[in-house]
Amino acid sequence: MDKKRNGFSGTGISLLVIVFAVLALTIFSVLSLMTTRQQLSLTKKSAATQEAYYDAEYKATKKFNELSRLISNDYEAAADAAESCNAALTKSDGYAVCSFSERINEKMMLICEFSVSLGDGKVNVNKWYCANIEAEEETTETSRPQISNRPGA
Amino acid sequence: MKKQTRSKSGVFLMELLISIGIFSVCAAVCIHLLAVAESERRYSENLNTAVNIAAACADSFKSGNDIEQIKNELPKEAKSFRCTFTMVDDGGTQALDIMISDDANEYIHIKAARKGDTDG
Repeated sequence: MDKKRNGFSGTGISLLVIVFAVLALTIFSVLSLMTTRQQLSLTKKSAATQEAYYDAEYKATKKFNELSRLISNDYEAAADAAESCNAALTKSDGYAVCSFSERINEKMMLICEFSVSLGDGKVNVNKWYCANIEAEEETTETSRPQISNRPGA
Repeated sequence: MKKQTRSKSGVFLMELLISIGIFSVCAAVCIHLLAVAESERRYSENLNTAVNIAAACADSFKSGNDIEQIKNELPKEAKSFRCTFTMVDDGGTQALDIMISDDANEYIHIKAARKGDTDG
């Protein structure tokens, strides 16, 4: 019995402990790196979308300002300008209604519509919202009536 | 008997040395990974904050505020960033160039435009 007890020298235990410690350390560090990588990729995507949105909105606002100024001054000249910048311009009940869209990215676009009173030149923004390109194309193709609670819609 | 004990302790010491060596190498690699993760987390947090600050400034500009008002309304998180505002007049459209950066990185650069006089 004594012989057996003396035979135990602890050989192998330190290696075992180290293996478990290294395993735990590796698992935690890899998990933490993976989480932060995913978080960073999501944040970068969000930042890129935000940049693309403001870029599209800047272009749309520029177009809006140019067209609204032209419509209030000279409707015929505005019609030509609207055609050159892919905007639809219609006239009804003393109002000129102009609508256009600006692409934000592959999935989203900014829909804009405004009306200008041909009498006093007052401008009113009817629609200014982001929409999914596919959903919007589907709506246009099937000509479904738009039921929404968007402001101005 | 004495010879056998010396041999066992020698094996144990050798094993301990090898274990410590392996542990040191692996710990160095893992600590490096953790440091990379920490720096990426900090960058991600800063980018997120910068995006929020830029969006808030753009909305403030669009609502009619001037640069001084926008600077006064900056959130307290903006103190750790360098916020640069440049007013641009692009063919009658008033625009504000917003750039949020710090000493190491430029996080976001957007341009917000203000609509002309409208009723709605």
